[in-house]
Amino acid sequence: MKSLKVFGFIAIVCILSSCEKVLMDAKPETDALSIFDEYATLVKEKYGMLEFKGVDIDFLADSIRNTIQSDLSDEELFNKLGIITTRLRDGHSSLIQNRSDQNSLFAGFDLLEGFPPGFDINILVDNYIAASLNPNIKVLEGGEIGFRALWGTLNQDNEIGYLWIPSWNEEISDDEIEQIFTDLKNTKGLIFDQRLNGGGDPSLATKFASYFTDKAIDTGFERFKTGPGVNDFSDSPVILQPASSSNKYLKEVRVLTDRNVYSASTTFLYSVDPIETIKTMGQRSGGGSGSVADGYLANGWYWSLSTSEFIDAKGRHLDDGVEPDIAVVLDLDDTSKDEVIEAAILELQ
Amino acid sequence: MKKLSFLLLIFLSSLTVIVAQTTKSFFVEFGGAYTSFQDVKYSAVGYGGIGVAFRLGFESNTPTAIWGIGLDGNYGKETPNTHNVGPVTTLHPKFYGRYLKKINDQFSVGTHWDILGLYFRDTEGLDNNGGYFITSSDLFAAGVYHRGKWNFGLDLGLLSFQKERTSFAFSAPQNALEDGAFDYQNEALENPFGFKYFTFKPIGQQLYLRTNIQYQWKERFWVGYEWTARHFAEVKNYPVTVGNHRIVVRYNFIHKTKSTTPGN
Repeated sequence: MKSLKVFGFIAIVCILSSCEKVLMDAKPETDALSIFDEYATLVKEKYGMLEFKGVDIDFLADSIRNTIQSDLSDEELFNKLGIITTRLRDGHSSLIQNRSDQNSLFAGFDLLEGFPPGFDINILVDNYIAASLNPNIKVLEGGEIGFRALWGTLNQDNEIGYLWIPSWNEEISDDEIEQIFTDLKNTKGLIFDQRLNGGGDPSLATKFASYFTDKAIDTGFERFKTGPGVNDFSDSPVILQPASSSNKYLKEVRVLTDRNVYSASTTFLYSVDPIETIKTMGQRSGGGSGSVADGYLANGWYWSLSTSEFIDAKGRHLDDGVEPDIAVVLDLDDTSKDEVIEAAILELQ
Repeated sequence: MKKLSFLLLIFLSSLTVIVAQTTKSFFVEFGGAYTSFQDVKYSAVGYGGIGVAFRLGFESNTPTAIWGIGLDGNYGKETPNTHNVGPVTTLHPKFYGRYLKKINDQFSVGTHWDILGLYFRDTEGLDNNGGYFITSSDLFAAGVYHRGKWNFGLDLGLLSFQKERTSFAFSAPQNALEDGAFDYQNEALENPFGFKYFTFKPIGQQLYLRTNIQYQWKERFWVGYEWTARHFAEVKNYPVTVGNHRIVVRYNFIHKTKSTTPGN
């Protein structure tokens, strides 16, 4: 009996060893139809805005699935999956054959298509912020384009502050943010230029937004996909809490937008939208209100999808962008001024 | 003669007590590991690869109990089993403590507590889903069978207090999203040690097993094999499975044995 217990114990140890594979789902197939089904299922189960975007994913997938043959080339198969991607009209949702190859096959949404440029960096530099022209401009050096933030006052009216964050995809420390707002504290109004800022870290965008209010603000809610079912959503109400800083900026602010204003920049926009002293000017923003998940299909193709959407305090779905409070068109033929900045100066004077 | 026999009997019976020993060891283990992973929430593709395993610990083996504390971990690289994109770096350090009561010369039973562990993965080429973690504190029922120079161990997870970074569709804990607690000013969401979004996982809601086989090669050297498997689902029908096999050599850099006398 004792020997039986001993051998039983040893047998349990040996049997259990090496068998976590038994607990795992079967290794997926990588033939054309399997890859198509995997992607269609991902979109159906995870994409957070099928209803808002008007996409009947079952109908769309079925109509494409019938055309999937086993002898499709990679490019042909990619293009068939890409039909689903582009139908989402969502800059956050993409399909890339090889992310490390810049010439790789790509499917996604061009959010600039159909919109004129709303920003020209040469006009901005040559007329407003060049160091030789305006000694009152400071920069935070570093980052992908050589600086992470630029701020100061403008020669056109040196009582008006100007702040440009070209990307939220940078590290800006709490001390650096505090320094920026300390320097801008005594201006009578602020132009917050968000143009060209395609997003990055929403937490950083929210941190900047928190400097523009002294009370908590109901900014809307984010609706997340929480399960595979059609109705598996959960809403997270989002309250913007004010910064603890004594250098909050509570005066008039004009936020400049163009079609490039996307993703985390939309986070900034909806965060400050309820604040009465803040208005947006320029061009319709790009949107991109959803939070993004990403991964690889079983054949290694990269996918990203918006798995949530933001609905602001006014009940607006923001993913396709929003019109500014004051629309201003940039005249590229007149390089002596930026009409959007000039209009903002007039607003703040 | 009867008196002499009686005294001899007393001596012999006490001898078994006198030779009972307490051994205290500070040890280091080093070896190799094979780790595997699958998160069905995002893909049925499995990952696997090799790495290094280490452990630094203290163990006391008395006539009545075995107890110890230590720090162990793995570091490795994994690759997917259906393509060659996006290799993964894995790191899994944890502090542990264990106490087992000897119920006879061969069997010991008790508990093993992984006090705090962080299982971390970094997938190359991904953005929001590039970083994945499970932070947990795990309590096991533990049993060891001793036979000569061999030890066979089995730990069965009873209760975990844990947080998984990703939910069904986003890199935030599932319970935080279901509770409507998401916002970008909520730093506890991203913090592996933000205990606010930890959940209890009792046995039945997850399978957490560990087996090990140790062989005392020389007085100060042991060799061992350990297998760990963890299987749970924050979202029903979308389980996460983590496997870990490690083969290590243990060196007892401090190894003191003293005899225990009656009354001690």
